Amino acid sequence: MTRLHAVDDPVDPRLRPPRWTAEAPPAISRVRIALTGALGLVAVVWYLTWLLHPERVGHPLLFVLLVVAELFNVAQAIGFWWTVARGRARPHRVRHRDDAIEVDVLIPVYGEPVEVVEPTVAAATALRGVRARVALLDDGGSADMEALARRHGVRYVRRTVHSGAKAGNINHALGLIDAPFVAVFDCDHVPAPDFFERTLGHLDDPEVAMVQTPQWYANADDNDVADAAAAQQCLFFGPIARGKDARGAMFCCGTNMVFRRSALEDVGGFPEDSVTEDFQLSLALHERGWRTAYVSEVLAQGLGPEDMASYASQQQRWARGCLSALPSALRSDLPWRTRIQYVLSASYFLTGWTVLLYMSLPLVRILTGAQPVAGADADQFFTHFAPYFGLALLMVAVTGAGAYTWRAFAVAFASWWIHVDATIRVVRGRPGGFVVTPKKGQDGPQLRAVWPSLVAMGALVSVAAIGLVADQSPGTLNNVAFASVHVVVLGTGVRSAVRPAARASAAGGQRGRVEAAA
Amino acid sequence: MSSTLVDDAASGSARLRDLRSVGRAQATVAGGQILAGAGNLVFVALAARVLDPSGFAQVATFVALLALVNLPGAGLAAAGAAGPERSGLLARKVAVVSTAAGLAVALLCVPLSMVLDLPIPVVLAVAAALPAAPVLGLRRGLAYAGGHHDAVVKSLLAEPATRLVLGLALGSLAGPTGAVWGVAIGGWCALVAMGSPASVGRHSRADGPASADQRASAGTALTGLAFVVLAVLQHQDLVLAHRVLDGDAAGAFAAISAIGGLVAFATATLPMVLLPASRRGDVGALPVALAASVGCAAAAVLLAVVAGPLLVTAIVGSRYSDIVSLVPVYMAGMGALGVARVVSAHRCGRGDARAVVSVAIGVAFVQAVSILTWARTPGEVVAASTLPLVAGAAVLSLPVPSLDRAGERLLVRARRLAATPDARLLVALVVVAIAIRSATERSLWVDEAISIRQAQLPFGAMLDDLRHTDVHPPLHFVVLWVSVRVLGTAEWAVRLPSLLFGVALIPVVFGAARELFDRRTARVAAILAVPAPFLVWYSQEARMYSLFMVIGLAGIWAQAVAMRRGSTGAYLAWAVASAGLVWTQWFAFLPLAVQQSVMVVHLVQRHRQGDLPPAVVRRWLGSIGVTLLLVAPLAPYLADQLASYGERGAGLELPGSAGTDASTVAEGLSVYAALANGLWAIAGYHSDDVMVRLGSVWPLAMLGCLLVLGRRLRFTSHLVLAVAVVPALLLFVIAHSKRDLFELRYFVLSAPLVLLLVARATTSVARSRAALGGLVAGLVALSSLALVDQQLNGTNPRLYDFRGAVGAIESTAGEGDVIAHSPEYLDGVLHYYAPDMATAGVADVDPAEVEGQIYVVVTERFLTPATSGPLGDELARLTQARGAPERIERPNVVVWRFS
Repeated sequence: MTRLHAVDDPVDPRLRPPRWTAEAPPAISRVRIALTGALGLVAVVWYLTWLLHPERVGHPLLFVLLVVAELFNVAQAIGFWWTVARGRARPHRVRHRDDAIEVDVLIPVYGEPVEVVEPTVAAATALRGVRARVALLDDGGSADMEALARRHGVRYVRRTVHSGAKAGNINHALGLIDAPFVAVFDCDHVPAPDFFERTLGHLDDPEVAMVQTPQWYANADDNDVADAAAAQQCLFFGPIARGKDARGAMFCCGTNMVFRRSALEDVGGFPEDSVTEDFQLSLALHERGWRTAYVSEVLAQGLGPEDMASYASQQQRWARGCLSALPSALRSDLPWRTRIQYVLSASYFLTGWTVLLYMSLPLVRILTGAQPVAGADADQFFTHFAPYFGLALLMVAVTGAGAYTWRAFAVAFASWWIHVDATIRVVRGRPGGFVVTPKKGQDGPQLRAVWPSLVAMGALVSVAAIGLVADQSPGTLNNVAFASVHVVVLGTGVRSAVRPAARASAAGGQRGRVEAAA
Repeated sequence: MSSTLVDDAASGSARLRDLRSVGRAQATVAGGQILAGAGNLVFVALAARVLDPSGFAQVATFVALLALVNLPGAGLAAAGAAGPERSGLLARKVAVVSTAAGLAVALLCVPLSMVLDLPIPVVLAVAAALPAAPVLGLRRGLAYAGGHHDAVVKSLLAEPATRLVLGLALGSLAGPTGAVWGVAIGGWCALVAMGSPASVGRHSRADGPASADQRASAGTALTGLAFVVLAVLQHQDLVLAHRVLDGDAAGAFAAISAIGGLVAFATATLPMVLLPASRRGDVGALPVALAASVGCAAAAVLLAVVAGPLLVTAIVGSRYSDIVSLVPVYMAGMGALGVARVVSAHRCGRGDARAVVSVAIGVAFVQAVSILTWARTPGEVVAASTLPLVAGAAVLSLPVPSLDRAGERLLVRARRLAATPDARLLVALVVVAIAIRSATERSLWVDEAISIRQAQLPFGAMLDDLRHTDVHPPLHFVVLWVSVRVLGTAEWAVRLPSLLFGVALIPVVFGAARELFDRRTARVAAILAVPAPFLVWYSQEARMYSLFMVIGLAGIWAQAVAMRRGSTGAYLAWAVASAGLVWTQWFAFLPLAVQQSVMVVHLVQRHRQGDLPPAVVRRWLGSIGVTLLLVAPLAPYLADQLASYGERGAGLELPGSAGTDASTVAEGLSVYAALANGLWAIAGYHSDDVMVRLGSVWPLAMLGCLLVLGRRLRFTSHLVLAVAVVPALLLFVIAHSKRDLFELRYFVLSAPLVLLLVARATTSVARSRAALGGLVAGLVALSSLALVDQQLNGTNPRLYDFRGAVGAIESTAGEGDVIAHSPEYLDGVLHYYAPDMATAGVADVDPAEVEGQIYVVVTERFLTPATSGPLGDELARLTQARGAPERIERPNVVVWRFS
């Protein structure tokens, strides 16, 4: 099934066969997912009917906050299950060689190293099945990039006015090209030679505006941060993306996709006023009645963030963009199923608030004695909470088929502050500008990228110690245990930023190999 | 053609000459041996007349001690005959060791004389005889090897001659002391009669084929060992019979042994003469020795059959006339031993000593176990002694070259294993485990006392008792029954089997983890198993849980091997372990059902992948068949227990749930109770206070769930997880209708399996060596902390100090005092600790009829709402009659003393 340039022991990991497949699991797994989801629903009802009872109200404010957080998470969990429950693979529509078809292949660049871009350009020129016209859209004005384009015989496009970030760059290029189909690849994503053979067939349907394919971080094996990010991507581009596609709500993800030019023109090109232009574009396309398709085959391999600063930068952009798009999604003129899908995706970036609350509750309990739930002993709480928690985890494990890892969870958990920060910025109307995710990791500790989590850890450890000194009652021990869980998860999440060695020496080796290849 | 005929004729003539030569040698030495035996018999008979009874008893004891000292001599004689070329170094070592032993006995003569109840000069005579015996054995062996049969005969005759002349003379002059010194000097004279080592060595022949020499040389040590074991086999029945038979019966068997032993004595030299001949490859040596051995045994049996009464009366007197019918049987057994020794000598001479050692040890074990567990009359001892000997002789006579090869392979593997760091680690862990499990001890509790009472019954009666009053299969009780017969009923003795099984669990944990996961996990699991509180606790309890865990884990190990490699041996081992599990506890059906379910899933998956050979299915079905076959005999037993259980009212009065409320806090079944059981499996038993605190940190378990995210579990992990969790869940569900059933003891296999999973999680999380070391050290520290609290904290709800309570009672008790108790089933444990005091249920005690004090012993944890009220009434009644009682408290036991 691997269609990339499989090279024996290549120096660039993007040229190795991918170790992950986004394809749908066998039928038995779908039964397992359905069963787990059904049990999970029972557990949700079991927990909420116990929690939402007047007797349970402890500290009123804390109780309300807890209920809101739990309802939000329950909504996300149900939405997740609803999405993944129909995660079937789209039937293959392979289009064989047809040189009459022209496709413009756009590779936007903004200051990335040549050694990262060159394999992408080289692979783009080798795309088969169509007449591919490759254009390198250099917003950084780099002479090296111009030389690179010349070296590979591709069109070099440089703007004089740099507006609209990536969206502006692509829109500018759209004015210079005229092929009926337009493919976009981030400069670090190396497409497989048969990319168009596997995707263009879906555009035979005149109502389909865009075909998206998965993103896979080929450096996942060489770097802990990239590994965690890749695991998160696997969950999205695996069961979630398949589910969204089945429900007609797959949105554009910025790279590894091919558009119908007429559809892009119909919505006026990429929106330039959003940091998540792809999300907004998809919303606009769906509102205009276009449909989207998702091909669950790894047809391009990229590089994931190699350090926490890069990861945080990427997450901040996604969080701000999606949260700023949330009102649009809520107001959109879409079928309710599609709208809910958009709302679920955008509102995911509010999860950090619930994490903040969960971390705060043990602190408040230890310091003040106030707690949200009353009228229940530990036995009851454990009885009602444990199935809910356990089945939620099981759902993720089963649907992700082992792709979603502890490290991915920890890194996501430690990103709580990004969601909080993004929400505040969006509410204040300052979502910020487009920031390109760095394609190369940096050496040395990156405490600034994780400082809120470090502060949270410090607070949790300090308060837990104070609590233990003051009181060793079961109630205190229970809250100290909760605090300890948070500390361990946060610690794992920020480890790569605090100890650069933890990002794995392979990261350096990886860069070295890419540079050597260049 | 003519040349060939001449050669054949010459060859046949040579063979005939060899045969005659061997026959002559056997006859010469056997004649010497018989004469020596007769001489010794005459010496004993005359000594009995010369000395007074107590003096004769001292001489008899001395001779018995000398027989003990001569035990290594038998091995050395065989070793000398088998490998004369290695005798130089051996002789020096033997001389040094035996001299040192003699000196040690001489130095310790005072305490030894007190222990043995013998005069100091007699002990000194032992010391004097000691250096000669092993050297004499070795020299005789060398003489056999060198063909110096005349020297052997001289030596054989010199000993009784000296005894008769010097021993009797000194005996008449100086009493028993003189007689024993005469016997001791007899040994030295026999040694002198052998000639110098140089002369023996000079005449040694080494004219056999080089390969035979090498084989024999390599097997010298094993040959010696084989003949030591055979010597043990000759004498152990007498020692064991003395333990299991009453005085008269023991005397009767001693008489049988004395007469039957003559056959063994008469044939003792046959193997020694045969050994060097077999080593040289003399074809006719074996038939000659066998003919002599069988002939001697047949003649003796015939004599015993024809003239049994006369023989018995002549040798041991008419008072033993009852044994007449048993003597021929026992003689046949001794004849079988003689045959076995001859065959053994032949096999040792051909380099097959390892097989001989294996068979001899097996026969000795079977004989010992048979006598200890079954024989209770002289006839039964004769049967238990004779049948294994006959079977052993038959096995040794079979041409089983594979036995030796298999033994060699096993030995090679064992040596390889012993040389690995893992083996050294395991040895160290086992030593530490023994130390930990022996360092602390506690009082027996109710269930243990019940088991001990049952184990003290005759075997059949015990099984009947179990069938009608108990709820367990018999395997553990059989083990305990043997333990009680061999070691008695002391606390340590009845708990020793559990200790052994508990310690054996360490290597089994290692092996299972290595098969199920990897070597790294195996090491961590074995380390964690050493201080694991739950495992320690049941290594110290005279119940079946320790046995259940070791068999259960071994079964899972075997299943993993079967699933991976599909070997017949693995399936067989799995089947036997499965059956063993059922024979230990009925709840075995739960883990076994889960194991089989996992197996079905595994086979279905393999079938889908097109990787399921029919042979695998056949082996699997065969293993189920073997299990069912082995379990089938339990069916009527189970039916009886179920019927009795129903009649008793579903066992509500049994103390099976004692302690189950510890830390479950709430009455009845709850998820928190499940949590408490999980904590017991990991952290052992603790006070309610500690358990509530431990339970309150349940959020940490969330970490465990999170840590496994993204980890693909192998089928072996699924197996372990399923067997650890599913039986517990099933019992949790079932327990909603009968609360007592949800108790860790009933899914006890979960404990070592949880330990395996913890070890697996540890090695998964800690990638670097330092991280793993730190994590394991932390876990061991936590486990040790929990262990200390479990073992030493008196508030442990499972700790019932009946011993302390009875000790307190006995410190003030007097004649006519009574121990009353509640609940009723405390009688067993109270009777164990206070066998001489009267005990009764508290309701049965009338204060007016009791002259002395009344001690009411109560374990409040066993009280139920239904029983606590009546107990209060009884205490009020006694208080009214005797006044306010004194309250004495021991862990979980309260004593009210009514004066």
